[in-house]
Amino acid sequence: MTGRLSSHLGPIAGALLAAMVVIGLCGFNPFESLILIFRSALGSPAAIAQTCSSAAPLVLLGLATGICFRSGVFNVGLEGCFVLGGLAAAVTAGHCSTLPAPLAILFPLLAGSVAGSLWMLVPAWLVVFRNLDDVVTTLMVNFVALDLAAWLVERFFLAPGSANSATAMIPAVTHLPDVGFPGLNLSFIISIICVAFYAAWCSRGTLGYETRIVGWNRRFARATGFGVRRILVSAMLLSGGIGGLAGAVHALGTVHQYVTGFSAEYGFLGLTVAILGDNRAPGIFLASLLLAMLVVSGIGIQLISDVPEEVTRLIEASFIIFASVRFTGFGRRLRNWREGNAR
Amino acid sequence: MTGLSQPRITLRNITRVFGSHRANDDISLEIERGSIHAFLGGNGAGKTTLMKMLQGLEQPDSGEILFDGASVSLGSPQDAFRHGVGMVQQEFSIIPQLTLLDNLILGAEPRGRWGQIDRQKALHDAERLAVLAGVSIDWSLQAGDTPLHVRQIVEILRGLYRGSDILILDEPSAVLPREQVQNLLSLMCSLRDRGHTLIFISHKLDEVLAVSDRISILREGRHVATLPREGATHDLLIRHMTGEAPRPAPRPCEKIGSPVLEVDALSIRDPRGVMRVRDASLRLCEGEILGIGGLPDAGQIELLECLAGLRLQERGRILLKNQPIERSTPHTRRTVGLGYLSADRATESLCLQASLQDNAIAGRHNVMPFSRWQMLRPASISAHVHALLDRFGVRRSDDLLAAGHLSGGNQQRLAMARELDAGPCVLLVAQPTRGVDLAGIHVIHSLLVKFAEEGGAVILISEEEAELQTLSTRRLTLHDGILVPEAELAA
Repeated sequence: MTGRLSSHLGPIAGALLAAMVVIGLCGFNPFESLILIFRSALGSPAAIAQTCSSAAPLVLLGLATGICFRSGVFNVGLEGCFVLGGLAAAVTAGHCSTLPAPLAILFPLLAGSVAGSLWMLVPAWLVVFRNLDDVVTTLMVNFVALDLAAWLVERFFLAPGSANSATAMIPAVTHLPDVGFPGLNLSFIISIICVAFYAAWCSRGTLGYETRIVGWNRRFARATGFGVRRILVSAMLLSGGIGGLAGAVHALGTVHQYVTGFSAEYGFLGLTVAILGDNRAPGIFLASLLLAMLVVSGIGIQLISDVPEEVTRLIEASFIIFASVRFTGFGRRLRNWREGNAR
Repeated sequence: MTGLSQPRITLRNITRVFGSHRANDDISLEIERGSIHAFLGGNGAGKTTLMKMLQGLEQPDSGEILFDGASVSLGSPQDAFRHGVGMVQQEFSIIPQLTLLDNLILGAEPRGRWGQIDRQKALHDAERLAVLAGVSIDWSLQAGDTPLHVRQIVEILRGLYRGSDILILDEPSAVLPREQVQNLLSLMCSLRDRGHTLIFISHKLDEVLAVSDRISILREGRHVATLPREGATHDLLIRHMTGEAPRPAPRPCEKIGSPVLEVDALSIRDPRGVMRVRDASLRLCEGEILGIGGLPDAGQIELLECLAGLRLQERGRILLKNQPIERSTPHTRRTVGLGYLSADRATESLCLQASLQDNAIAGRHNVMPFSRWQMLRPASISAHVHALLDRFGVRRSDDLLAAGHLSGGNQQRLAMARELDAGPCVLLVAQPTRGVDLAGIHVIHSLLVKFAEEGGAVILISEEEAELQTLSTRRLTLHDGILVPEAELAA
């Protein structure tokens, strides 16, 4: 058990250390920067609330990525689902101003989820039925989604009088309400519910079982009568749906419209979350909080000090590098070497 | 005393304990220079642990290892390598993308003046080795394109190339087609005649008796006996290995029922467009064990895969219990009553990363009693699987252990438990006892016979002539993709 814990905390500690060295080399005080990050992300109740709210889309994207990773599909296409899900939610919310609050929120969330799922149909078909490479396909489709969203906004949904490419602000009734605490909105609760569902789905759901087996050994799955294609397509559509939900939550909870630059590459942060969290529910949740701290503090840190925002991006990048160590042989060799020494 | 008269390897009172399990218990024996020394023993007899100590992967808790009469301490594989110990891996460590030559020199490349690989010298050395071993090899071929036995020869030569004079061969014949085994054995003999010391681990008594100079038998961690070949017989070896007289092989009964599987004019083309099976027709009845023999790679595997639904036929019909299934998915065929045990146990019959439980319910995980409303039911799964694995005698410490931790025989029992638990009427079986020890073979054969006695039908593919001989009630031979009937065997 301690071994597993250290294999999670190892990359995080290593990433922090490496980032601090680079920050120091750039001429900033690394300890001061780190303290600043902590203070602006966790320094006040309001800051904590904001960090938790920002973590919500990351949690959802991490879960969405994890579902595909488990089934052996390296899905990096959630950026597209996130963007289209956000757009669908923002547009739907604009038509919900006369509905009672629960429905006015539910419909846009559903719309975002459906949009994300539908968008995933294209790469799912290409990867599962046409045997195209999963990484290339899902990655490339992202750019199509971004441009499609921009075109849709320009052509149909442009806010009146808006110079940049943005939809109208959504009506107040569709904003995700705060729960118990100012700044902590419903998205955090949604993400916790999804984490719980994911944990149950992994250990108890038949599809969770099937994706695990298919991810490990596709030949075995085929020979024992699994519908491998059905399972892979289901996993990818489910993943896209949750990715779209993440976009919807971001639109209703934070941005309150769809606008160019809506995502800030959240889809790829979801990838980091899933890798850091080892596709497990608790890991994904904690990794999201960690990355949300960096996202939130990046904005604040520049206002209150002369440490540039890029410092947080640097730490983020360092997390990605260290998290991917697990994917290469290096991490395994390191472990073998350690075990050899222990004997 | 000169070094030559000393045994090459002497083991003195070697003991290795894992927890409460004595893997090696006070083992003392000698291995002569320039001989083939075989080790026999069932799974868990302690052969693997003993070999790991010779390779420096494990260290004895007590006792000592002597090379040429001098005590050595083998703390690491590098130490063992320095003393001339080379290992021929059971799972090949050949890299398929490299040429045979590059595989041979990998890790010990001859260097030119600028540090570049001196392929000229490498090729020269390689040719010399090949001549020495009495084989001819095209070193420029990509390893992945060469047949298994060539890769294995290169694997053996690699040990020599790096200067090892002790070669440990762990089940070298397990993956080879039958006609190549003879070549392997003669290669071993010619290496012995050139003064190399070979340690030969195998479950196949015939091979052991054919080439070994001396045979050591281990049982439950103890050294039972070391016999010279002249004094060894089949029965004596089995008695030493199992501690009891050989049990008679199970015989199938001859109670034939109604037909369950009918194949009509089935033709199968492989992805490269080569016709592998041509117009095969057969009819299989309840209680039958149909053995299909023939040269290796004559289309047997393709035929079985096609029946299992893993490969599409070009034309032909398959009727299972009078239902046409030639267009059905593997899942549908299994539901109608087909079971399949692949020759590729590690990657197709089992998922080695998954737990025993996950393996045991695969394919039926989405029906009662294992799941309801798309949710698994852990309590009933674990109760059912526990009873099932007990019934099939799968030895394990925990049902949640990864299947890869089981020995070969136990893995096969796990796979059989799953397939038979589904209650099939036809069982397709390929190479069921490959890499399985004697006791395990007996269990697996008994299970197959019992299944047939209870009205099941079996199609058996095996490269072991003896296995086909004892188990089959009827035999066919595949020759160039054409099914040729053999005379009905008398009961």
